Amino acid sequence: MSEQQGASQFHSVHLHEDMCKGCTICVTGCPAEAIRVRNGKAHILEERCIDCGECIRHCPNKAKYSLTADLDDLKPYSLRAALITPSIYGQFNVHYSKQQIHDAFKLLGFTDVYDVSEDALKISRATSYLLSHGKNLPKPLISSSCPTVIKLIEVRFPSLLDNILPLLPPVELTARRARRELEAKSGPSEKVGVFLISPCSAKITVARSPVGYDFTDMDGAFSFATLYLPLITELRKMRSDEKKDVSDIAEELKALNIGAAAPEVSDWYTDAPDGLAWGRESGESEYAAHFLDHPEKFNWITSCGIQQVIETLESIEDGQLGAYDFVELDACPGGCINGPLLIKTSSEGLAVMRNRLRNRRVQAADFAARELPEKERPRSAEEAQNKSSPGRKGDRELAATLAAEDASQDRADAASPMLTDLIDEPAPDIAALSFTRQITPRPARLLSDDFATARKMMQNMEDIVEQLPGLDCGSCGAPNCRALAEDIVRHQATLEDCVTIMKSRYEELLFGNNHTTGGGNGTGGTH
Amino acid sequence: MTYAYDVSGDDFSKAGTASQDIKKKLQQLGLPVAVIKRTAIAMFEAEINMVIHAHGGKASVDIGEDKIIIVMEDHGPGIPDIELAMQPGYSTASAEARDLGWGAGMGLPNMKRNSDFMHIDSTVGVGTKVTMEIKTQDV
Repeated sequence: MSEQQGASQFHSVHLHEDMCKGCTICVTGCPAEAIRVRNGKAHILEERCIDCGECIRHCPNKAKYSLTADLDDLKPYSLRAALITPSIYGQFNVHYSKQQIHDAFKLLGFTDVYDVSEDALKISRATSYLLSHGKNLPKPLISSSCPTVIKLIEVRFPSLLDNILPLLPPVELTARRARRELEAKSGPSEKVGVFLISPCSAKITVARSPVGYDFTDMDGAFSFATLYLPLITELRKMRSDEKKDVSDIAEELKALNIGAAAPEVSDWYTDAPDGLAWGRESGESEYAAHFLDHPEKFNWITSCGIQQVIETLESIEDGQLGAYDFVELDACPGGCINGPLLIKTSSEGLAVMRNRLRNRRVQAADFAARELPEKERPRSAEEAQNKSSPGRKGDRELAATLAAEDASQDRADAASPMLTDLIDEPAPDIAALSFTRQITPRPARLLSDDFATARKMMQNMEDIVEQLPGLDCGSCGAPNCRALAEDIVRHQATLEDCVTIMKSRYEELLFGNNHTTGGGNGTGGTH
Repeated sequence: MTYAYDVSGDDFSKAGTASQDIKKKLQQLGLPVAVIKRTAIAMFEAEINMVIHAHGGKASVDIGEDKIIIVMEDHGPGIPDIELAMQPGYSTASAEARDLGWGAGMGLPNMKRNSDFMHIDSTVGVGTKVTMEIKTQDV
């Protein structure tokens, strides 16, 4: 993987320099304020980037892209596994069966195809086990499945590292399963390559730089976007080659305007994968609820989309969501089905997923609410998002929250818990899913290690903010005036990078002091 | 280093903005995570109290060498019996506020719990001034 050598440990987002116009749309849209336009090109501040892919999504010039493996990278391996995340299944119309999708991957050069959904269910089972058997559980536990969320916590919410669920992400579980199985059947000289098919840049990064565990069994990761065309080509060929089935007939009839009834979905698709709903908002929580003995007592929240995730994390940090057991956070709106490297819109991805799930005996969406009286149903995402009920509940719940808070404050400052902090003797199958190292803060916001220096810098920043116009126009290449002030005290920018200040300096030079416009309100000089 | 904020009394959605800004500043200064967390909770609760009971007010936060001093001052109804108000579960919040999920009577106890020193100065009909101090050295 030539391109991935020397790649950042923090992110997989790269820039086609020639396509970047230096427009600052990515700068002002970056939730981590991690991009600056310098010398006319957008640069990422490594240590601040949380790999959310918002810049890939929003760049009008398509100059941002994710690192990806390419099919040539498969060549050194005699056994080549493709790991398919649940969200990927939503990218193909429901009339393509799971088997056909897997076959299409094989036609591209993979020898074996693994469905991540199955391993996602193992994580759900472990989560529910921990929820019912854990001790001093932080409230709420924060799902660790979205790498961008973990990075956001490292950078911006270090006090919430305490709350991270110390379980491996499903993709890593699948990678380990794939390697184990393929190595067992491979010959001595055969090499096994394990590749993730990823909906986002964040998962591409964890395929080389794991967070919370020491090694990864992945050899690389493909951006789904780069494989879509060859895959859909293979699938279409398959469909035109195969024997006519009920759906083909129906389509032909429809084309002839004979108007036959559409076939049942079950006729089109009979092998819906389990765990598939992990790919969409709330799926992870619903499966965790499914495995609980008392799902009616399980109190969970889902937040999707990076801004909403940030609001929820702020709220947890302010001590407002302690009545909840579990928080599922997905950086992408709607969940992984809206990953920045996917092709279909999240709405269509969701519809396809719904259709694929429809055929199952028990619908995933019904897991959480199954057989419960209306009023005892676990709180839905809608309710959690409703700002007018901020989750401040009765005394008893609060007392439990306070106890959990105290317990979490007793632990070492600012590091995620290990599984053994949360459960006395985890069963072996649960322990195997555990994180193996703590996640620690990434102090990207820190001005200086020395408190006195940091204070001085902050004071300078305030003085500089006073001089800046406060327009947050982004023309200087920083996302807002305050960020420019911070860049200046960090010696990464100068006051003259501000166009408004520059303009008044020019006017001073051209017309003398009497004609200046002062602090830069941009009204232009008098003549 | 002192920062002053106006806490809006009528816009509930803005409650918490002052404590969020302070949280960011404390991170930039590199203060221990536990200190940031306690400050955030203490200040957030105080902000909410101001919105629910006193139609807003003023917050000032002084970040010093060894402690953070938070002063929250309002011209609300005042607290007739501070000792009673400090009891967990005691609340005078309106039915309206309770409908919104507030008024569990944990605000003041929570503020006290998360600060190293707290003093309430209140006169009925005049207003309330709450002073909280949080040590910046990790304990």
